[in-house]
Amino acid sequence: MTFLAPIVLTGLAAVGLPILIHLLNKSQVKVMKWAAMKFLLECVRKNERKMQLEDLLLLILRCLLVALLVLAFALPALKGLGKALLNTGPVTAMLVLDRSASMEYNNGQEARLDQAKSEANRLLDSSPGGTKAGLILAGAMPDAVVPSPSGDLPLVKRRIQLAETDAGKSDLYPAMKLAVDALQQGNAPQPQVHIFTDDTVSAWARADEIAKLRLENPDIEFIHHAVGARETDNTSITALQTEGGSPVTGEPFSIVATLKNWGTEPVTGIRVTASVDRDAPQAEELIATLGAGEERKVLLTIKSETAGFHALEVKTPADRIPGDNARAMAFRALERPKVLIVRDERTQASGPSSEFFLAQALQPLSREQRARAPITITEKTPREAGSLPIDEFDLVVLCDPRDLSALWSAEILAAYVKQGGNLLVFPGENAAARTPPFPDAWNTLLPALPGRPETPPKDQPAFGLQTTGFLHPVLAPWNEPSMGSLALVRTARRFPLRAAKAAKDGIPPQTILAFSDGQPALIEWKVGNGRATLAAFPLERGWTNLYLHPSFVAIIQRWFAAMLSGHGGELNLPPRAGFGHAAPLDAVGKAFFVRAPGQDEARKAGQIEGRENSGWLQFRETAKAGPYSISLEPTTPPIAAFAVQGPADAGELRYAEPDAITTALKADAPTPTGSEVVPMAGRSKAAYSMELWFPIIVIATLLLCLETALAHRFSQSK
Amino acid sequence: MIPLLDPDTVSRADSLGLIARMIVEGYKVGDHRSPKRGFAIEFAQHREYTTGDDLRHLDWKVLGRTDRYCIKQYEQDTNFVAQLMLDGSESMVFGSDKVRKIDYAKALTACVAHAILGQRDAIALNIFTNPGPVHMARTDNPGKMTEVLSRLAAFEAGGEANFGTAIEQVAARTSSRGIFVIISDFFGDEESLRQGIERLRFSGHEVVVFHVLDPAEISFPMKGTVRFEGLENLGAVQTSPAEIRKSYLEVFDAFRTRVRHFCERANCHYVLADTGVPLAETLGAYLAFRRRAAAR
Repeated sequence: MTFLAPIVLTGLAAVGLPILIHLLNKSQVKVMKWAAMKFLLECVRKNERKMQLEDLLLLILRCLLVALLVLAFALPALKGLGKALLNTGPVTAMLVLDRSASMEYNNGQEARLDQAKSEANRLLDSSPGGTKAGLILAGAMPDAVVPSPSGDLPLVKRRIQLAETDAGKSDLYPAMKLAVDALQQGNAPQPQVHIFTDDTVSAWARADEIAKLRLENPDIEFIHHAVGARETDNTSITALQTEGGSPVTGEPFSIVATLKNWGTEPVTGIRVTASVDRDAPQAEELIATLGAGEERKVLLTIKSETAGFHALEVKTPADRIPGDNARAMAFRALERPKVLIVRDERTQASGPSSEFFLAQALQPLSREQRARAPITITEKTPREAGSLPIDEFDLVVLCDPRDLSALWSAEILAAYVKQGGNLLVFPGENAAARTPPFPDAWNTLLPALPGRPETPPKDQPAFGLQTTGFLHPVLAPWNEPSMGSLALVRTARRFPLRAAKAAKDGIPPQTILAFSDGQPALIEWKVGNGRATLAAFPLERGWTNLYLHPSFVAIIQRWFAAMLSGHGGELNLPPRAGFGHAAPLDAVGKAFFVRAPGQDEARKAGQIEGRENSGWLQFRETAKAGPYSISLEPTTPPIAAFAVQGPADAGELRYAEPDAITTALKADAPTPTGSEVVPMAGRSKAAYSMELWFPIIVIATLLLCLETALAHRFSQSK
Repeated sequence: MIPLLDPDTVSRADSLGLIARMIVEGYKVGDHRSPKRGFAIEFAQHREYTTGDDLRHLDWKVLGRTDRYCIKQYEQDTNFVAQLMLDGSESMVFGSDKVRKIDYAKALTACVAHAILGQRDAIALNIFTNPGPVHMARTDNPGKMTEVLSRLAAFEAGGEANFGTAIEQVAARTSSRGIFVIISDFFGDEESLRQGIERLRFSGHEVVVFHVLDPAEISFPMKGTVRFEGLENLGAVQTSPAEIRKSYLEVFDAFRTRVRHFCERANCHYVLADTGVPLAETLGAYLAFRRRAAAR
């Protein structure tokens, strides 16, 4: 039952009027001395109970009469089956199903998503003949599973059953917009949008826009189905970060897992395990107590015995939302990374330069120890380097070579990067002497076009680096003050970097580190499987003092690990981001197989395409969080792996205010709670014009007649 | 407030008078039949002469014809003593209008007393009330009317009185047959009242019952919610009179019927004295009825 004029319900207070009048009448008593008392007592005793019952009956009737009148003026409308009987016309409904991670919340009996599915199925089962329905899954991005209303309700129900939660938060507005757009096509009878959600804050973050959408479409009815109670207890793994360095086969590799208790009660005995490639756990830590709202970092050390792509999984015991009790991170372990540093002949007067500081940062070891180090660093002049097979190196660093023509051609470098190589370019005095600093052929290779070197304005001694707001995963730890500030880094000269335009289907350049004025100091972009990175200055005296900063080694180490292992970005994706990876040219046209989270074996997922002298595989079904591995055959070792990570705060269970939801959907429609099923039939505004006020008025009239007759009868002397 | 001696009532009552309808035993010659034989005008019978008889009553004609000595005897008329019994219990205080039952009863008593004394018969006044009864000795002196009035005016009804028992007590100490005029609402113990009246009748007294009732008690006309506070410590009750009127009237009429029936069974005159009806009408009508009955 709902009311179209609920404000009138305040009139229910008038139910007290008959009682008040009754009490007032009782209080207006005449007092009389009476002689014939024994006769009076006798008949009062005889009639007392009967009179009380009559009074009570009349009082109830009068209260009921007032209540019915108030209810009638509140324009009630029946939402139950009775309404369906009154109006059996077909309905056109779009179902919007929230699939956010919080919908995985299990109350001990079933998950919210399952509750929503059951409710949606019951809704479809109770729909009148001729009803059409569509289905849109609302996540961070909407997924139109049944994009337009279909009369094939079994298909819609099947799609509902197949719906799964994704790792992110949901935003209902885009999904509702899609639903409204679908309903606007054609002349849909009784258009309705049914929203099944657990009402988290993120879902209703755009309540204002939803309200606007509703106002713009007055013919469409928005019906809210709240799922699950508003519980908040949940513990999740919010982040996985490398502790530094690149994963090398056989070498220990540390990661930091961050756990957070989102609930209001402390959680005890949390066992944190880390495993690689779904094997037995390699590391384990126990958190005795995690207080309410507390965040805790746990250091876990693992080792990868084989080179290639691997998936690391950190798990805690499953709680209410099992999905966020595991978090995966993909990385690539290298046998022994090979770094080629290309620099000009060093003169005695030139002093230490980029190659020196870089080599020291990558391998802070003595010359004797370097032979056993996990990284092999080779320093060559441009002419020497040009004769080497570039594919043997995992990273090529160009430290301002004077003669670019002695190097590989820009095309070879581009192919090298596309196949998975990494290129780091430090422009310096030699680049400054050239106009332009790099040939035009390099424009498609470098993430930015360097301009002429510039010096700071006169009122500013040097360019400063950004100190907060680090967005790139490599620099993200420096958002915490404990990592130290980069405020002391001074740059006397810099190349202004103008970000290059991305290719049609490419990824735009990404700034790793910026100056305080927003100009990029270190910028990269992903080309194929590799990355090209460009610095705005060389690591030389007279340009910058970054190499003297305590954070320099850590930054280089993190950048190097991210670049080589991929765990900094391209191998670890947000939900539904899509994964692309270069494949061998001879695999073009072949199918590739993906083993997704929760699957025991790899399944065929697509075909490798040919693209600019290489193969390319593209996989888009990345809604579910966890590790993914891609192989050319179901049983062969993976040629790539990646992980989908949900947002850090996906496990936070905060709920939108019920008033905001009510206002967004319908000002005069109370939000249903629990698992009440609101039938589709009879929900339209046209149906509301036939509300129950008339039958109630009829009942009230009958009651009035009954009350009058009884009052007349009872008032006759006994 | 009703005057004790309403001129209209008094004039009607005096003119009608109260004739004893049964044989009464007076203490002097009067207008009423006596069980005793005397020497008056109307011949009754002869009896044998005995020594000491007054020779004036010897029937000389009988002696001449039969040679027997016979004394002529005649009917003897006497006066009567009316015992006026007034109920002074608290229930008599009730009055729905200006006239209280006790005031009406007092006036009735006074008028009856005036009529009786006026015809040279005697009255005795008995008022039963708490803390104790009021008695006024037998008198046939019309001059004592003032005392009767003062006694009636002096007392105020109150408390509970067992009227039936009081009647029996008065009957026990009254040896000669007379008239008992009982004025009450009879809200006390009905059984003892019935026994008292039967005792009076058994002793040969004529009994006249004036049942004094208020119009509100007879018709129960109240409206709305009324809290009735009982006199004579009978508690209180709150009710809607309109809703129980029928039931009340049934109970009350049954009571009146019971009183009238046991009066009639005892060959007593039952007179309903509705305080809503002027006393002159009530008393005049009854006395006229008696006179008509006596004439038949």
